[in-house]
Amino acid sequence: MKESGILIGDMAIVERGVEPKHGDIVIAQIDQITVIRLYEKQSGKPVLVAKNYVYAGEEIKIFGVVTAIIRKYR
Amino acid sequence: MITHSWPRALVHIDADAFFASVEQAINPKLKGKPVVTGKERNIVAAASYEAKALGIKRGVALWDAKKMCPELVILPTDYETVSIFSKRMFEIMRRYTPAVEEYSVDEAFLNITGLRRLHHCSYRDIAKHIQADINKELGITVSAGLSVSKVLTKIASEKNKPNGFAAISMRDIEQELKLVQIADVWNIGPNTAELLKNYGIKTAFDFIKKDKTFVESILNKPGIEVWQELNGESVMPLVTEEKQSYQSISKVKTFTPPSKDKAFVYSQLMKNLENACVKARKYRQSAKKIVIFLKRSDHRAFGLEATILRPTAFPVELSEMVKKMFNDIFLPDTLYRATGIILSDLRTAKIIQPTLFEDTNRILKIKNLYSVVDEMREKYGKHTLHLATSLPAQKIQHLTKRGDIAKRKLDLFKGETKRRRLPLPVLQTEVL
Repeated sequence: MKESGILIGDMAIVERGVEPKHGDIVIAQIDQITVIRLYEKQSGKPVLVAKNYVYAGEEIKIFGVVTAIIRKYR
Repeated sequence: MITHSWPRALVHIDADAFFASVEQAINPKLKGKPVVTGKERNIVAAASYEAKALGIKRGVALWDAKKMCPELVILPTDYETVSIFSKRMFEIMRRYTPAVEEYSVDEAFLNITGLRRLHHCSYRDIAKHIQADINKELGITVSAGLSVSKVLTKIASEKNKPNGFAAISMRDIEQELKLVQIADVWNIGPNTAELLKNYGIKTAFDFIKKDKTFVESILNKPGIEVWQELNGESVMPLVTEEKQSYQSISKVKTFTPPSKDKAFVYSQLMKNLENACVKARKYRQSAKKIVIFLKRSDHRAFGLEATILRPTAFPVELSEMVKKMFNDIFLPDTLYRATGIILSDLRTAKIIQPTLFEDTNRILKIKNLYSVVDEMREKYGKHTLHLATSLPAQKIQHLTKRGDIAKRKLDLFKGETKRRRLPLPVLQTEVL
């Protein structure tokens, strides 16, 4: 998620139990794999986006919506 | 007989397989799998519903559990995350009603009487909303029971576990209680159940059909209260305020592997003493009585009780006495698995009244010393300063492999220490 300014080792604060909106960053599950992606609605259907790659499968389970990214240095 | 269905509305909320569910909530890979916690103690402390379905019960040795189910996921207990989930669960309940009794880490009683208009829905729907919010926000399921007394809500919440809901209104009591064995009723112990069986009482329904004079002639107060509660009369109040003081404080800790090393077992006892005293000081209490006990690896416990001349909550003032007691009960060549301390006859710690031959200056010094110890604890975490005798116990509670310590304690963020971490649950899976 470099393109959204998120680097490996960053801490993501996630809110559970809320509906994601177009443009949110979410933690989601695609076939047992947990991912962090941009949540978008393309022609009414939810899709997950990262590095111009769009995932539009049936089984998108949203774990939570990212509300903040924290990068600590020490 | 009151004909009104809801003279009051109480709810009992009970988290389903709480410790195991919390693990599944922070690690999506464990969803739907048999999971148990308790690795550090070598027994099943909690089992997920998937594990329960395979016949794995609480208290079973892990070794046996693994035989029953080779793909069983075995985790150490993550008390930290569990307590965060517990707090959040109670917070969700408090959005609906201020009258919440935190009965245990995973159970609560709520009073929602008169809140139908405020929430624009029925009592059933209020209970179901709370249940749904907990599920949505925490990712765990709870079972809820709605009724008119605490004992009845317990029966209701148990009825459709897990993720279940049941309501018992005044009208339903008789019909519902026909299905409940008397031994399964909350606060009816095995002895009382046996006694009642001798009078031909098998179900809770048989029990409520007996008249009060008869019940009063065979049972004491707690038993009579259960009878009243089952009859729809609420006599057990909700304890909604936080504890302000304690009658007694006990600290018991198991360590693995069991040990016959005298200095080590003693250090465990001293650590418990320090912990008990910290709690007493927090509530500004001093103890007049102290009990120490040692539990052997065959689970038999031996203890001693002593009276303290001048009530105190300072370990240095008690250490000499505890050492004597310890020497009296410690047997060489015996394996011990746990030690415990109970402080009792607690009283408010006000002005210290020295006994006749005591050095007032020394008492003052100790008092000042512990105000520093407490300040250090507040700032840097528990056991920053401790007695030298408890040193061997400070490092290891469970001498085991890396996998036996909860992951949350090992994977630290920058700025976190072993003693102080962010009070947030951390997702335990790789995120791509």
